[in-house]
Amino acid sequence: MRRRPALIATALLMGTGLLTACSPGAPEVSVGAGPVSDPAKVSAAQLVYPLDPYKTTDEQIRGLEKAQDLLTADCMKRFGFTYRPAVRPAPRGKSASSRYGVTDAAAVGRYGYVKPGVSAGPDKPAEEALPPAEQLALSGPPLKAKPGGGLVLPPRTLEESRRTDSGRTVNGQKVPVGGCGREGHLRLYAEKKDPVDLLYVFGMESEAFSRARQSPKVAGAVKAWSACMAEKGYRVTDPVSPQQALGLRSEAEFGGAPAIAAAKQDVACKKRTDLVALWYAAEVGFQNALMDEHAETLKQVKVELDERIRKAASVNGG
Amino acid sequence: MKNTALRRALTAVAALGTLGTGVLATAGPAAAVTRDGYLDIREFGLFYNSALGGSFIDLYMADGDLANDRFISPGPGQGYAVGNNAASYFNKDKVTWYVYTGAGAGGVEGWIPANYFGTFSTTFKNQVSSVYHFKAR
Repeated sequence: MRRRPALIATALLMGTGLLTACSPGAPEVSVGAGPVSDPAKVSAAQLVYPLDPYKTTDEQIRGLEKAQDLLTADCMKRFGFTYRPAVRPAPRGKSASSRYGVTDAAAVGRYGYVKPGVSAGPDKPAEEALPPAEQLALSGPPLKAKPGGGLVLPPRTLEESRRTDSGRTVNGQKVPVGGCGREGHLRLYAEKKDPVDLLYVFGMESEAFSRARQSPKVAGAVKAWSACMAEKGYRVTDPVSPQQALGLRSEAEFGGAPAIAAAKQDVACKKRTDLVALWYAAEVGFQNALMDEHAETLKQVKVELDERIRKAASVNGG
Repeated sequence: MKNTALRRALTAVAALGTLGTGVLATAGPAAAVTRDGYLDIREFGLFYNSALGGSFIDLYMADGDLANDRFISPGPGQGYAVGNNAASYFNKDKVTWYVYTGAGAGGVEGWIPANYFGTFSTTFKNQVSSVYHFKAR
């Protein structure tokens, strides 16, 4: 399941010097635990990471959304209501944007810091307010506030939810805690057991990304990138989201002529300093180290993901 | 900014007093009003403390830079910047929300299904800087 290195990956690591990386906080990077993409050959947006097989794909997310809508509708039917799912934006093709900020010379020459096709974002049309009984069935009674701030946690599994009395009924039926919206979620994600945190892999990726950013080689490359940007008068330190430091305050400004000029320099500096390749290689090393450290939980993540996808397919009639 | 947040919170509290309820929580049938200190259906909540604890902010629409926002509802963390400070979340929307560790959908991407709540990991370092009610990358 884990993608272990190809020769090219090992060569890539050797090229970046990471195989011998023993700086404080850096993982022990073993020969063979390397990148699966070559940043010289693929765009930053298309790089593949060791944790990718544990992530839910966009297509799988769409299947889960559909299944959850159907399960919510099934619950609402019990109360005599027809559930209207939210209108979702049409899926887009492969993104050209990367986690490392702007990296594509052709795209920035046209769009600057705007993400093509995304920047303005799909609208979120207001929905008609539901009649009170229907609203109650959908979202349940208000959650209780915790003394001192925040909300009391609702039940975490369907079983626990069914044992918990919300204290409200609609059309003779007990309203679930959190309403049919929450029941639809629990039926798909947590019938009997609270699953591993759905953001577990996100957490691992974030940790690897951030540790890599702080590793000496990448920190050095970021400094070099800043110096390169300064050559054209741009005083920035964050290669991922430099817009605010560049004085760009709105989406409209992100695509203006000054933004395009800055973004062009940004991409050129990333290339000159080899920032993406260094960051990627370091990140892969940290991901592999974290994967070894949390192997058991990851195994469970994969089991639950596969079960969830199967269940969604079954609900969706697939 | 902080003063604005406090004013918002005080307004919310005053509204509660008028309604005769002392609970800042999910709303009744009223439409979602973003950043009012109530976590309504169709909204995404970010909390200052883990396990839905402390002050929170309720968002109806995407927010590309949480550094510009403050926790609103009464409780620990009220008035603090949301960017890189949120410890837990509750997606009360009907759609998936996407979270990013960098402003403007930069950094690492995560997704949160409708009606799911949780605590941003205490095991791993993750600092959410922007959130979207659609996939922004």
